[in-house]
Amino acid sequence: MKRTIWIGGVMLAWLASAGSLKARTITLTADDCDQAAVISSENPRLSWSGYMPAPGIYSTYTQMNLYGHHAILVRFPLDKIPKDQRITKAEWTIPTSYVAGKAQFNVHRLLAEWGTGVCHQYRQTFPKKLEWTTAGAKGVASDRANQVSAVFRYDKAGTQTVDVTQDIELWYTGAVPNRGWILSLEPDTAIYLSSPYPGGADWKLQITFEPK
Amino acid sequence: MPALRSEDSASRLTMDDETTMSSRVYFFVVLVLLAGSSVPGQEPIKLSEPKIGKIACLTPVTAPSARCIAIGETAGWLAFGRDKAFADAHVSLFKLDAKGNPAAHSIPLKLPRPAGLVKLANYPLALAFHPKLPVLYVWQDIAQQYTNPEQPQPPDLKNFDHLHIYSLAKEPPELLASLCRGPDYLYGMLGGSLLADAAGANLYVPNMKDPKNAGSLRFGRFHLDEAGLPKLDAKDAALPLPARIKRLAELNAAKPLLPHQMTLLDYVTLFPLSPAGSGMGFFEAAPNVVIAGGHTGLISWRPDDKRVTLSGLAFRNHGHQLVGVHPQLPAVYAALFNTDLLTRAEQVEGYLTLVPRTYKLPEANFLSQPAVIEKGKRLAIGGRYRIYVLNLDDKGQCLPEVAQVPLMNPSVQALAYSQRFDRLYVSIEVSK
Repeated sequence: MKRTIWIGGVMLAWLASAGSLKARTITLTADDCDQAAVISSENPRLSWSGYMPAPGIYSTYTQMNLYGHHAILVRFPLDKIPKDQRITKAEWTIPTSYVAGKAQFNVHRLLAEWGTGVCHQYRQTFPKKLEWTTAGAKGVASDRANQVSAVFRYDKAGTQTVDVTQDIELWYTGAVPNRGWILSLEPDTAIYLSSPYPGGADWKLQITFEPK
Repeated sequence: MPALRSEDSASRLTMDDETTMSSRVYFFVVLVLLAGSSVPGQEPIKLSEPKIGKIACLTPVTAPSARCIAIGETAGWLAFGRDKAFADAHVSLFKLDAKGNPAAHSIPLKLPRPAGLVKLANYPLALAFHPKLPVLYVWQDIAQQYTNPEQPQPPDLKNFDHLHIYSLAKEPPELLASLCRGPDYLYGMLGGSLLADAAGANLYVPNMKDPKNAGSLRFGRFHLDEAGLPKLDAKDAALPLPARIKRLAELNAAKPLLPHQMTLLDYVTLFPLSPAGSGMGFFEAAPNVVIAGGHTGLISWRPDDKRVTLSGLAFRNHGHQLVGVHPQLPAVYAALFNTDLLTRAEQVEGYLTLVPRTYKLPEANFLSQPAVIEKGKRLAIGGRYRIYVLNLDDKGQCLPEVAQVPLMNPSVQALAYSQRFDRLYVSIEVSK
């Protein structure tokens, strides 16, 4: 008898709180990205140009030291969000370990498809070479969206969070294809952050959604 | 791909209600609801338990205690390097017929070592054939522990030659040259590879170090002459072959002979000290570009590119990376020695690109470099008493279903595929 009451209580509690179950938040990290790169005008063919431990040597190990000639390309797949949901909030957090003066990442949606071999010169090099409209994915309204989606502003090393709800909603609903973002720095600035590979970056994309 | 991930934990998938959770029971219900959720990318993607399968092109060859292998398609030779415990021969050479069938009997090679090192076992780490000539390159090592800083060594260690070059033009094979000795070379290593590039212009050699810093590794390459020997300077290069062989021996005895080009030094990100050495599996990604396995991931070397000479793509799991390449796709596979982890990365023309993905085959022990077989559709990797066969999709990603082929060999390390003969050669302990 006691057991029946206990189970009934559990079910009642669950049903009573059903409304609060509707909204869910998932957290995606750099590990979840299915495509990523750090491109640079100084090395037009490199996909990973973010860290130069010594002249002539590049590595993704431990960190990324980014300057005005760099840009990060990143794509988070959204297949973890169930169907028929409404995106209510999406926030992206990027911690930094060093900032030279005041620096900022400008976030744009990428419009052009990119993939294997992506670099400053090409948006892909396999199965065939395809160039960006303007090198560095700078082609406005062709390589990247004209509108800035968000701006990460840093005046010292630390963590910043920006709202990217609109982009996530656009991608999730299929209004535009999810080709990811490009983060570019202003000239003459520098930001250091941990490298996403082999898995140190603490990027967090938190997406809250609820059934339609 | 999401289906592959579904059995992984929900640990990274957080779920926050908009209201405060009212009870532990409620929390339990939430956890139950989350149990089947999907997961993160760089967490290894689990593959299914292997089922017994077959490999149509499998060619077992009786070569007990084999630890490395090389196929000389042009010259028609198959070579196995033996473990240090195998006393009969360091290397066994099998002649191949026009269809790639190995001869029933092998030619044994004993590798030389200085008299002062007879108490230490020497063993082959890597073999490679010249692509056009009947020339075999052997990289050997000696069972002397390497430490940083280095401990006192037997005096004759400085005279231990790691590289031996054999002519297979006549029987028995003729030792043409023994090179690579002295303080620029590692010893006591467990890994390392050799590669003669497709043009026969360069020989890539592993397991080098900064003579001033025992913890700073590197690798290098010799430019080869028309006989497959390291090129001498212009004056000596004009000598006839016997005189060039003699000159190489003189130079080697007088002063350590170094490769014509060596990688830059970087002991933090690309070349940390590793018992598996440096250059764990080379493949030629483009003319004058090689990709090698490194302790932290993959290393691309463009010796003639001053701006981007070395570049690395780090993996989450570090160690002895055994590298294989897909013949048609940009996929590169790295099996982490003696683990159940396989990482797939991508390269185009030697430029490492995009995001590495790691697969886990629970309870497997990967022991050989991966070999792509059956027109790029399957990947074979040696294990304990078996070969694992992973199925690949049209992008070279691993599919969940895995097969295993039992084999009479407790440690399948010597496994290689010949495209010309469409054969997967593997060593076994006893004849069928």
